[in-house]
Amino acid sequence: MKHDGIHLNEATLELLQIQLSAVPQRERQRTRIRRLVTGFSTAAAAVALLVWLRLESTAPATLQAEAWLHQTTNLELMESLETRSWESNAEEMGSLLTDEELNQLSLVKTSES
Amino acid sequence: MTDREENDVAALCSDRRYEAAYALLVRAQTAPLFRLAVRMGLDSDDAQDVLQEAFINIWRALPNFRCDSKFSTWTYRIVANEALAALRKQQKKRLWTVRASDAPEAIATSASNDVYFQADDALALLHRAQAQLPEKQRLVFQLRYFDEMPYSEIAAITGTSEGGLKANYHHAVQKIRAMVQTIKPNPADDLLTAENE
Repeated sequence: MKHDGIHLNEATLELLQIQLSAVPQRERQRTRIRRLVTGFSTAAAAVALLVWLRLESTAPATLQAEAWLHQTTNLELMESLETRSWESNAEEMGSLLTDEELNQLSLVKTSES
Repeated sequence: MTDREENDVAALCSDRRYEAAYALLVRAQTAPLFRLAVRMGLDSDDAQDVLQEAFINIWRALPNFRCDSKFSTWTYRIVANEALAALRKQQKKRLWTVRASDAPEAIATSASNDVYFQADDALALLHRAQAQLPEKQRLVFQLRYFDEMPYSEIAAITGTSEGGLKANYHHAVQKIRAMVQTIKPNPADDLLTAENE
């Protein structure tokens, strides 16, 4: 090799060699972080998809309810709410209330009728 | 890189001990590759960045290296490509601040002011003149003139035919001689005389 007049600073060269030697370790860390980020973003996307699907599946029922509300007069609505709340949700309420509370409710209902 | 080092790296790679092979490449090739990047017209910081990028590529590609060429030739090729890309980026930036015709002069000035450059007038003039060559011609000139590489090896680095390289080198020498003579009749001309014959 011919003399080219370029003198490399030994300290700079040593520091550069240390930095270059660390490349494999840095690359392994980078790969690990990349895998983690990919994992998290895939999980987040899956959760978002599930939420969206759930919302989509309940959307027709909501629309139907809105249409029904639109068509029904206030009086009909009140009647319907009274009967529905007692008839259709009776079983559900039964599971939520204690026997004592259920008895009280039956008493109220009987006294009203 | 010596033949023994070449064989050692090859043996380590065949044993799949890539980390040890990489460490040996860093030890043997950092200085010549850094020198190449600086000589191509990059300042010390840019040359270090180029080497960082190049060695990341070397580490990633090492398991797939097929030993079609020498390891030193392969690393030279990677660094040369990275350096050319860095120079092109610099030129694009410079176009916003300096007129295109002034760009080679700016490279020459930055190379001469580099802290690692110490040479007599003739060599400084030679560096100044070769900095004005087109990038690829400059690379061929440096590999042939300063590194005294055979044309076959330069062909493997630059991806050009040997015939094309010889013509390229001849044109580079002619241009440098003309440039040197226009600046001043100088002993730098003597440096080229022996090489051209």
